[in-house]
Amino acid sequence: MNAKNYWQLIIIAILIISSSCTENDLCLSGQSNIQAGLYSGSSGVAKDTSLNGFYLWGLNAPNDSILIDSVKTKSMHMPVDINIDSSKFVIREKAIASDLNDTLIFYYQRQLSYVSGECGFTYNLNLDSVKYTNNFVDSVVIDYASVLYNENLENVKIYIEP
Amino acid sequence: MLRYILSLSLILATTLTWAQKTDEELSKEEKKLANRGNPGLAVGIDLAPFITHFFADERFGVEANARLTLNRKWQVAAELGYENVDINNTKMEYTSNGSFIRAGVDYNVFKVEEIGNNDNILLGVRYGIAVQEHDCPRYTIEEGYWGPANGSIGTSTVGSHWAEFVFGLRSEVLKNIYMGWSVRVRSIINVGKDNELEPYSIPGYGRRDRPTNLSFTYTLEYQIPFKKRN
Repeated sequence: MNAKNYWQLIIIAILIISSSCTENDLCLSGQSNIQAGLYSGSSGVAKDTSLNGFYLWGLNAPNDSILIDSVKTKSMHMPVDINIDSSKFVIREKAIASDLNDTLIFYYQRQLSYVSGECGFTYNLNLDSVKYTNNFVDSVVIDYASVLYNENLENVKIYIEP
Repeated sequence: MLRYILSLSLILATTLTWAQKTDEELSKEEKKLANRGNPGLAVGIDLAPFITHFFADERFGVEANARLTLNRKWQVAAELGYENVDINNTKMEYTSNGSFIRAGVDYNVFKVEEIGNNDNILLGVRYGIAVQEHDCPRYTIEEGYWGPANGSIGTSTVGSHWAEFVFGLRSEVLKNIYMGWSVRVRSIINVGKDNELEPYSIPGYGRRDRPTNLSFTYTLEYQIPFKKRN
């Protein structure tokens, strides 16, 4: 080895040290959300549909506040109560003049999961079952039971009656 | 930026001391004499944990090392240390206390061109073991709609293993006093787990949330020579 080679090694070492100091500690929020897609209940196969506006709120949530007030959507994110093993939601279509609405109850297991020192912990979920009423919701199917940190996949298909 | 400048200046300080000695041409016999090595036992401390604490005040550690130079090429090294971690933020409180030992060998690839030059360019490997006790007296998981969840996780003991590759320079700055730096590429082999709590930092390894860690050491050593030097 000659002096030129040594300096090349030193430069490589400096670059390695510099790269090791780069930190990427981005904390994600809203990671205990069930992702639901809306489908047509009449087709017999999964076919996208949309509601022409609906309200969604959690039953027994603080102040029963509205979670979603949507004009038109094909999918939605439903945050669950991470202090208990089930969450109830009420969905009401805006287009229907009456008080017609449906209740969805999701049952799940919570798994505490460490993310990092900066981001703390999260709860990963495993959806066990779902109960629902049938006023304008035709059926609800758990398609992908795992709700994991930093994963963006649809968990539930909600079939809407035509 | 300050971190880069400090790292760079420490490296250059050692490197320049080392580089100044390489500009003399020797005959074959003189080269043989110069490369006979300097067997001895060195003990020292690593200053890098103090530098780390300056930039990451949740971690505090101390580290000592011993190095047995067998001949010009081979050295056996062991490093022993302790690390404490204290985190208290809106997400969690976390404490950890643990010790570690790393052991391995270094191979000196530097052929000196000056009699009495005992500098080294080292390539080496280490195997590390750490044991730590940690707990989480409070954690808070934010949930904007339903409200946060709070909890705590009790004390547990975790053992960890890892391997690392070493590249470093080591220079005799005064008689029997060595300064050196090394870059370490560490790869975790196993982290024990007996509850939901994972280590934030593994003593001697670094941040747990990275399967591979890059780090550096900056050592100051005193070497007890086995032979009287000319």
